[in-house]
Amino acid sequence: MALLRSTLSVINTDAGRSLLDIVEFLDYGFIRRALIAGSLISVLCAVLGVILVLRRLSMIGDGLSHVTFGSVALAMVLNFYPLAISVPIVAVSSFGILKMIEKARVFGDAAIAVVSSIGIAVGILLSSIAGGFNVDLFSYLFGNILSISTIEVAVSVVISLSVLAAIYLFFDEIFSITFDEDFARASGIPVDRINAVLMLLTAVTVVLTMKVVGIMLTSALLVLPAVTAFQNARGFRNAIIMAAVSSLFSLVSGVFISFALNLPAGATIVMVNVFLFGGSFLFRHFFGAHAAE
Amino acid sequence: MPISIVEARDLTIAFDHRQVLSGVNFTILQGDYIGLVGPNGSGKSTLIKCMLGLINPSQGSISLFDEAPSAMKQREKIGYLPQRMDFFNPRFPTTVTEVLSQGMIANRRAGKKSDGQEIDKMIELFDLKELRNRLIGELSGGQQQRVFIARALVNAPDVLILDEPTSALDPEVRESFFELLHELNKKKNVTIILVTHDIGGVGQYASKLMYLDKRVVFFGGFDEFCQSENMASFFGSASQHIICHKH
Repeated sequence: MALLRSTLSVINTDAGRSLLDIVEFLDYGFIRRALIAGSLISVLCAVLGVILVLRRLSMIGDGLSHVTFGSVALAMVLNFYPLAISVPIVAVSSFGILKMIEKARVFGDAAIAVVSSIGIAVGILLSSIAGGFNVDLFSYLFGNILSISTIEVAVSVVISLSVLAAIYLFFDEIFSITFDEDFARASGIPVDRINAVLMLLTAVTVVLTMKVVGIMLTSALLVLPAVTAFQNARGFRNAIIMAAVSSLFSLVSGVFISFALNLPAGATIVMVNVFLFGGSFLFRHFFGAHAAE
Repeated sequence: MPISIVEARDLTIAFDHRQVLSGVNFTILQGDYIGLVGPNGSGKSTLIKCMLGLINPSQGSISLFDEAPSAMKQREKIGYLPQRMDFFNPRFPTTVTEVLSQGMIANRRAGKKSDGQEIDKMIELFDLKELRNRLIGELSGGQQQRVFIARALVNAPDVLILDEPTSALDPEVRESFFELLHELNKKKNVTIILVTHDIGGVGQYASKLMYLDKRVVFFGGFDEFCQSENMASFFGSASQHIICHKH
């Protein structure tokens, strides 16, 4: 880092000075922590988001993040570490959504709405019992990636890499289930078991994401990279790679922009994602395969 | 002695206490070519889903390769084409090659190695060379159906279960597809179970017809079907004559 800084300091141009500013950003431990944890979580969200959106479960991130709100409120009332309470509660809720879809003649969006409403209602009741919303609860609602601790980075790295490895190992199976569930079953894929694992992975990802962009914007990190990729993707694998790259770019540039302009990091990351979606849409419109037709 | 591929005994399937099929008994042997016919809602798709273990019987039993279908391990022996409208999301970003590779998944899970030649063979056979890198949603209905038929065949299965495979095909492709099935059945002894509304069309190739209408109304050869007084009274002799005359 010192060598890079001394090299850049002799380049007396605007570009050199800008690069030097970026290197100086990286001197801050909280920036480095934000970039390490945020990058992994953003890639994880993008990969999982492609699968969820194609399975018409786009709003699951929104629903589970509302449950996260309720579970964080519970953790604060009980004076527990929020992640320890949120992960099991959100995981159980995700299975609740799955079972409602399978057994209770409820469409996916309605099942998500039911669980989401319960999460919000419980959160509000618990906050009220605890004497109103406090600063901590607000920090989870809107997220603050720049306040991520070393332990949270370690947890994020371990969980993100484990989830990405699981998706990589069962990529063919997940693709087959996502495209054609009956064919996947006929091919001997344990569809119910993989669906349950996917729900669990989604629950863990949603809980991790609340620190990056906050409960309010979690679903944006799941859905936006996916829909951005779908504009120009030429295949399933291609869509996953494009979503991951777009999400990673949004995260890194969002962190830098928010720090440089003193803006809230979560909202900035989401807005970069929105701009990428708009750009991707326009690119497809003017240069995509159908534009030539 | 011919091997039993599918065997149903007193099979009843019901959803929410509504019987879709009842008292179904039959045996499909290796090398059979079964035309599974019947009106809309007669239980054809339900029966093949039950054969594949996608639906469990409410009463009675069904076996596939002498195993309960839901527990059957050797999935690479099966080729399956679902009814088109059941599953297809035209906006799904996937290429023709990716769709075909799905057909190899049972082989891969069974530990069989593949060098991709099977996929190339299907691309050649179904004239998909120009389309291999196109998104599935960009193809016409007939082209999509060719891709899904190729997916069902790519793992060289012992039994092919096809739910209305020719619905979107033009007459020329339909004819060559029926000829391909005939060849697979005769030369490679592949057992074929083909769901269709076109009794006369399948009659010229199938070794047996199974006519369903919430139960097995008829199960036998096409000539037998045409001479059956039971079928004449079921359809009316004029309709039976039209179907058989077409053949």
